[in-house]
Amino acid sequence: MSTGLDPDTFESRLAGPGLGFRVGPFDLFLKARVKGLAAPLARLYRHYPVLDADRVFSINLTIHDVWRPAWRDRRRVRVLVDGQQPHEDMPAGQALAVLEWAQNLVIAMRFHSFLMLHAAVLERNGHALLMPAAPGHGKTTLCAALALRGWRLFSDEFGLLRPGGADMIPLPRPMPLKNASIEVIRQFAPGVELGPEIPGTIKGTVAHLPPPADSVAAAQRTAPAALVVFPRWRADAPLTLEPCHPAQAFMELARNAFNYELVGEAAFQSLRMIIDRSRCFDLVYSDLDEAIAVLTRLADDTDG
Amino acid sequence: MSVRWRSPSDGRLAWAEYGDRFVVYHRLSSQTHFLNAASAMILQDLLSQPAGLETVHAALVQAQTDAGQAGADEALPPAVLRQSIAETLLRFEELGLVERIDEP
Repeated sequence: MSTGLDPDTFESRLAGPGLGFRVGPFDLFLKARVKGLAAPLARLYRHYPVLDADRVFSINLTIHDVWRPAWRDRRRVRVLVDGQQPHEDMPAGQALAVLEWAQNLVIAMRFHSFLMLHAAVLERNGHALLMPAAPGHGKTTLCAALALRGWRLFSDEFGLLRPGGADMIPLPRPMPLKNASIEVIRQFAPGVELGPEIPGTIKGTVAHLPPPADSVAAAQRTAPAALVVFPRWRADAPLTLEPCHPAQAFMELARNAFNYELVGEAAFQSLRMIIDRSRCFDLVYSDLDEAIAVLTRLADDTDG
Repeated sequence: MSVRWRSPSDGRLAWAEYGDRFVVYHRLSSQTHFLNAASAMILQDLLSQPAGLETVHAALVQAQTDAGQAGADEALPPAVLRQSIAETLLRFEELGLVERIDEP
């Protein structure tokens, strides 16, 4: 599947009437008038189904250039969510990262009909793997590597599910690799297509890995949680995989969620179902191939 | 003046049990708490009936003895265990899981 739009049409619609995309359970409407943004955006979003404009969209984002003649960094970009500006103008060179972060912001702030865990989620053999982790623990890097090795990407950031249930809902989006992870993934998958490197962001240099086409195409297919793994990357560390106490895993999932307390008891029931159905582990790794091998064995050993 | 604690109705709590550890959801505060076996036992005892520090202490020692835990060489000295229970009760009180009954 693809947008089916040639680059010129993509850019002109993006800058003009706007483009709608189905992104997981959300309908995203996007307008962008930023010099140099259309081409990388077209590559990152080329697998998403384009929606007709005659619908109510879940997320309405506009991003456009702002000129400040009297300032040294004259060119900035402004993001609007439903016409409102959620934060100050940002450097124009960061437009792509700003746009993705704006989506994160809207999803995390608005869609409380979902329980939103802060976890990477992938699927293999019909089983969902949840990887909650603090920033800097290598969650997105490992998620990207697994997706590049054939696991179905749900999200590198949002573990979505309906409160009271334990079926994970895909939200495949471009994955923001940061700093050293960019080169790690280039080495891991020579020839991999990444978006442009965006230096100087609040998170350092960022480059986006497009979601696999298969993952986008299967984005309406949920999967039950079956594995909860807390990854931690440590330089030169030998791989260790230790069982994690389910009560500890429960609390870590709750602590890492975007809206656990807001959702209330249904969130507790969801986590209880996830923990009851899942095996839980702490994973320390330094080598991506080793980590993928052990996670693949775990998934393949999981009873259907 | 003696002090006893009680836990309001069990209907305010939802429990998830994982062997010797527990996760409890408190409906009044929407907070979720992690409890070890001893803390869970204290809370469950107070759900069934109000009790003072000495009663809770005695029940915990008895439960540990029955379970074959805390042999003579590893048991906490009574004063230390009592202090630990008092701190647990105060923490439960802060969290709204128990409330104190002051009695003349």
